[in-house]
Amino acid sequence: MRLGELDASILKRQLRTEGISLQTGPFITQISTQAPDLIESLHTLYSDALICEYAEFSDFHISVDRPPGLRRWLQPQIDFYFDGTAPFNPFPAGQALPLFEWGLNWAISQHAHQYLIIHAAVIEKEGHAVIMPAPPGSGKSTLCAGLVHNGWRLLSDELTLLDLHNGQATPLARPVGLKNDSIEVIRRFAPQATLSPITVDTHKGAVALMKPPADSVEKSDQPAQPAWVIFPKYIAGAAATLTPHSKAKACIALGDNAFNYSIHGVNGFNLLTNMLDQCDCYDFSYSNLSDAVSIFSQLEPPA
Amino acid sequence: MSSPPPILLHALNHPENMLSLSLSSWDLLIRQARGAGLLTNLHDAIDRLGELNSIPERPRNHLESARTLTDKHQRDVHWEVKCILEALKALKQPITLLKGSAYLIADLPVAKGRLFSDIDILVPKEAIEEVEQTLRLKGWMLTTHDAYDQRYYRTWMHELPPLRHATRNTTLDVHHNILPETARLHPSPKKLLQAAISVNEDNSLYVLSPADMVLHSATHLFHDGELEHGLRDLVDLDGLLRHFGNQEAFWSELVERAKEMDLTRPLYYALRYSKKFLNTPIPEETIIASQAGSPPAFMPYWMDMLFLRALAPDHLSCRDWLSGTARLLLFIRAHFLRMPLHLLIPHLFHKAFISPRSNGAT
Amino acid sequence: MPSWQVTPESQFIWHSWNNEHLLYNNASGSTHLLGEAEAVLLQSLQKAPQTIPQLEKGLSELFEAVPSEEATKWLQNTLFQFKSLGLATIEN
Repeated sequence: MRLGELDASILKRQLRTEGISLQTGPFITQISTQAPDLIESLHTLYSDALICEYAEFSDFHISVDRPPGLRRWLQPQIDFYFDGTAPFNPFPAGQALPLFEWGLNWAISQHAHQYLIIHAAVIEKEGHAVIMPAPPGSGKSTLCAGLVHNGWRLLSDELTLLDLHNGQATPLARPVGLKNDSIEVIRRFAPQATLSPITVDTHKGAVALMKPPADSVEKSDQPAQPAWVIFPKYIAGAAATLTPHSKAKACIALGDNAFNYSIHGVNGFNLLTNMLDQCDCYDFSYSNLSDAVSIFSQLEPPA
Repeated sequence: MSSPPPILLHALNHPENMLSLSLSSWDLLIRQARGAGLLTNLHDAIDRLGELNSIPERPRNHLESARTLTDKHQRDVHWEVKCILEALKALKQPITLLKGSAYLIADLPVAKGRLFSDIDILVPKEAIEEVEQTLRLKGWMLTTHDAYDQRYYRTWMHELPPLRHATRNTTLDVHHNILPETARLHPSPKKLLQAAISVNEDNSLYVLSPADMVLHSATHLFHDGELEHGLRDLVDLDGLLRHFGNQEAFWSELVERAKEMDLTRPLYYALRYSKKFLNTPIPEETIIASQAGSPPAFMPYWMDMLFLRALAPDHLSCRDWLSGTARLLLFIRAHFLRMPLHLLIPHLFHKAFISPRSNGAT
Repeated sequence: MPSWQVTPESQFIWHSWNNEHLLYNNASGSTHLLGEAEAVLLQSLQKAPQTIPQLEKGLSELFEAVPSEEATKWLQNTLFQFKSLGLATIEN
């Protein structure tokens, strides 16, 4: 069943006790938490995701809770527990949702080496995927959020999972993180989008998460073949422009942006070089989302 | 150890039983094995049975993922050893690999499933300064600049402060002995080096002899307080004993060497717990001979209580109310064994109150 | 005279687009991006260990260029770069 079909009070009780088993893309994650803000956000943002009522096996066991001890009364904090151990320092208590999203990304990137995992957004149309690697501040997530409300399917905003066996991008349709000004940009550009409440004062500034489109979540079992690698860059006032990017440099950039490229050794090298043989590579500068959407709609897959 | 015994031990001892596990048992097994750093060992045990494809996909993904990571670690160790040899080439000072990297370079079966964190080498004490200088010229840097830590290492320890390579970010521990200067036991590093075995053509690289390798592993685990990966280290010991134990002369050499090197106590514990946890085949006469190193009356019961907890997989399903206490007591015991008491107290105080508490991610 | 060779026991896997060459070194696990001239130099070392004059001769024939001081400097710099990347070593 879908998480949204669960009654809010039942979801709350389950999250606070034995937890729920949530399917996101290829992974099943057992989640439990006492944090009321996280419970509410999960209810909103993951309502289209499948939950497994009797999951016997979960890939990851996660809880997000207050650390024990006196400190909880002085300066409330929240910890991310991966199978009973806390791999990070605690966050301030109000940031349970970003901590959960960040922690789940960490769990996947540290453990799922059946994929080459690249820090990049990936979207799809008519069976062809665009991979968009980019550093923070390049407007990657804003562009991704805009495109997935305009004809493109979201595979992932943060983690591109490339299957080592066939090079296909595996969907992991989870909420899209929006920062600072882009929250308002998306509110105006895609009024139908559902956003979480804004968390302020994370190390990134103001953060809100956008619920992935229902259709993207439903198609989580349909991988896509990469056809383009596009490096987006938001430049104030710039016209939306695609310029060709060297394949060899794109390969190095993808490797640099991958969490586990070096782990895969020669298999990672072969995966990326074979994939790039089949891809067109571009730099993309833009300032206006509508123009960006129109340029993307004109992309022709490589012959 | 909480009862029933951890599913991980059952799987290590009876790999064929993994083929009929339920998904919920796999859930627990994968978690325990991940906590203990033994996922790749499980992968390889099933692979040896030729049955990887008959286990369910989800747990199999985790095992294969761990195998991929282990391959990367092994590739890195081979390369790093090459770089260390290249850096020390002009010095013409042979080095002896210790622990994991030694198992790998000597191509011992026990290395196959192992993850690696850093590389440990042993050099004669007379040469250590020259080795350090050369390494620092070739890109290795000291990891600690804290004066107290520096003095602690250089005065009391059997190794330099860890060195880190500036570009490859790898860590190298350079030892001149396998136990600290101040330790209760005094194995002779000269004897270790004399018995070491060359593993390359130009005799620049050595590993310890089989008996010394086992004794070092035993010392590291049962005397040195390195219990974070207790079970994984015990799996190493078991693997070494099984491999070398095929040669008949090995067992008597091992017992003799332990006496000669003043390491009968760690050997006693090693054989006891390896057999207890992993059913290591050990000849009866070796067990009897190793009793010479058993602790005084009453101690075995007490040590069993501590070690059986500390060696269990580091996973919440294997912890009971005494586990944390057991690890702490063994940590204090290890410090007690390596330093006289008057040194120990200031050191623990320094560690407790001055060193910054870091929440290291693993 | 010392001769240059590719790092013993290393295996190189090449993938090229136009004049850009990617190289995976199986021994170090590193990936490198090489220009045309660098790739030709490394590939000629792969064929056989060579001294700097031998390399100069081979390269000037291949590129139909006259040996120059500048070319020698480039050759030396590139070889030492290969060395620091673990792609080549000097044998006496």
